[in-house]
Amino acid sequence: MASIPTHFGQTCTQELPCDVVAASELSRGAREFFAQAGFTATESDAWELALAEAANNAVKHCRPDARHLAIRVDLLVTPEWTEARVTDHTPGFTMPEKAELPPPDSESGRGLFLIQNLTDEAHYLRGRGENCLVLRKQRSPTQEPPALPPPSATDELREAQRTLDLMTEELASSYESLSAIFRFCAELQGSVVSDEFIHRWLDQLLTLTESDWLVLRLCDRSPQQLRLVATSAQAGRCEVVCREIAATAADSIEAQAASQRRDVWFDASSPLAPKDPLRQLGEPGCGFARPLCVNDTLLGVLSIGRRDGGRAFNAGEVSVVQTFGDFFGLQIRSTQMQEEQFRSRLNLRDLEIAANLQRTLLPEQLPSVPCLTLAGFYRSAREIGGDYYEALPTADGNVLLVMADVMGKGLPAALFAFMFRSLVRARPELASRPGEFLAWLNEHLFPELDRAEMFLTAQLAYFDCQRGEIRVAGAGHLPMLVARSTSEVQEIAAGGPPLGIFAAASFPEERFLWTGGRALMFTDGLIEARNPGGELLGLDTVRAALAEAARGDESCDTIRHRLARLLQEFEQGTPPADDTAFVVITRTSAN
Amino acid sequence: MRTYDRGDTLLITDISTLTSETSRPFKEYAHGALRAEHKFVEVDLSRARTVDSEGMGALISIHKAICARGGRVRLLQPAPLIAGMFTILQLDQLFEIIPR
Repeated sequence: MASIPTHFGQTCTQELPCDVVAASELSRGAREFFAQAGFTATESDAWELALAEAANNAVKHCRPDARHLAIRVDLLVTPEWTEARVTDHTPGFTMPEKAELPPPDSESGRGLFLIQNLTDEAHYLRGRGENCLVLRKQRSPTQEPPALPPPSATDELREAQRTLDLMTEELASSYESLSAIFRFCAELQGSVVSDEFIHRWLDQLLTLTESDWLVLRLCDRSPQQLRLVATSAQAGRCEVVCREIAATAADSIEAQAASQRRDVWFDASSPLAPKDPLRQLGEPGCGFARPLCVNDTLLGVLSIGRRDGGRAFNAGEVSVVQTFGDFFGLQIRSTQMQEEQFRSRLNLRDLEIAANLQRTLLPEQLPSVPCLTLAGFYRSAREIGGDYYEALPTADGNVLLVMADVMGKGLPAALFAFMFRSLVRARPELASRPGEFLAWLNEHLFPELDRAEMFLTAQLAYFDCQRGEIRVAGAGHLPMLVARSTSEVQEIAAGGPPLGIFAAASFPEERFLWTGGRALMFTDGLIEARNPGGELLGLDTVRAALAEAARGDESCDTIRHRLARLLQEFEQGTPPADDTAFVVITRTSAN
Repeated sequence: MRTYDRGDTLLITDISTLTSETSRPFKEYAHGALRAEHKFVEVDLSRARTVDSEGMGALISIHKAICARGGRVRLLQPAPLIAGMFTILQLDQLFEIIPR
């Protein structure tokens, strides 16, 4: 092995045929080189062993079609450190951060462990046609290299140039990728990844790697679908690449990279499948697809290549693509997390607004009405709902009781309840005709409810104090319960469809005389309360409670407490699934 | 490489390297020299400059053969680096290492 001193160190390059004898000769030759460079015997032995392991791996795992190619070893010694590069033609592997030992009685599988223990750094750069194992180790500060015989000027120049090329290639790729990443980080400064950012990033990557084309797809909601985000803007070809592909499609290397979570290569010897979407780029030539993952979460796939006639990617270029891909994956994930946080904050704000609306919907105190005593109850479930009740005294001394329940929860439900209340208050002259009133409400709410695919149920009860008459109309709502006497509880259904189902609907009205007793208007949260066993409280239980209250001539407040206690004891701490609202009505005087 | 038959012990000497190039002939030679009466194999590594993972695999192969008959392999006077590698690889659990 020829040793060549240069102005920054000594180098040595050897190319060996792919067989174990040559590998052994190489490691012995390397030992001589290190000895000449002033290494101690122990240091030389360690390097000999490390290089023997590296060369053995390069020989043992060489691709069958590459056995005719030489394995190249470059050695560089400076006063501070030693570096060895072994370029192989194997399918490549992923260098573990820390190689694990096989079982003690295993006869193989210790090579990487030895290499990692004999050197300070071991990196493996993977390329399409070749890979490069880079080993580095600090030198002992006490060693002084002995004087070497002067090499010829031609040899010195050639080897120095070769070493410079090697270092320049690595430094350039490292510098360019690092500086580009730092620049992009500075530009982003915590903001989300924009289309402009993506396109500039792609242009940068194309330039750095001297590639002809590039396709970026990201997972769209589901990791099963890969959506086209950007392509290299060359010759308008970006318009013809498939917009969306299935991540499991067998005829796409992008899908294979996504499903197998590894780089998938193609070239003339292993071309793209006839139906591969990347074929729409024209003549894809050679390249690879790299999955973009963060913590095993697939975010997308980056594919890059050169057209027919382009050279294969070398290890340094592959490293740049991989570094950029990993960096971009982190940025995408960071953006997703920012969006999730933003949505979460929006949801919280949404709930706050809905809760405020809900509070304004419900009367702080039901109004005093000459012929009735009223007691209301409202309990919200975990989420904000759209239950609403109100008592609206009319100009003629009577009162309209309103009970409503908007389907759904959150801000939309609260908004519709608010809209419903505004409409109810807008037409007090319709209070004495609850059926007509509901038809009018339906007419005005239908467009919005229909668009939002929502509906609401409601019940209007007009109490004519002078006549002792109740007029009830319902829109898909539960019946009103009326305890006329101590033993009888009547259901007043008066049912039409819920509001928002039909553009035009009629709502029958039921009229009856009510000279005394108790009545109850409520939403479904009352009878659909559940106990820990999952059983429903049910309408019959509520009817029985109301009948008992009527028999005991209980006041409005007492009945409200009775029903609230009934709920509490039945549920035994089971969180309510729905809002619960009810109004207890007693007649206080007959005209 | 030479072997010496010493009753229940087979001694193997004159080993300069145990690498990918030499480990296979070494393994075949050693297995061929084993007799039924051998309970111990002593491998003299005092002149061995390099023992790589392939060479270690060959020694483990002999260890398994001799273990099957209740015996043991002793490694005699390996260089400090080689002895250190056996320790790092936890192969000192398999072999009795007699230091220099």
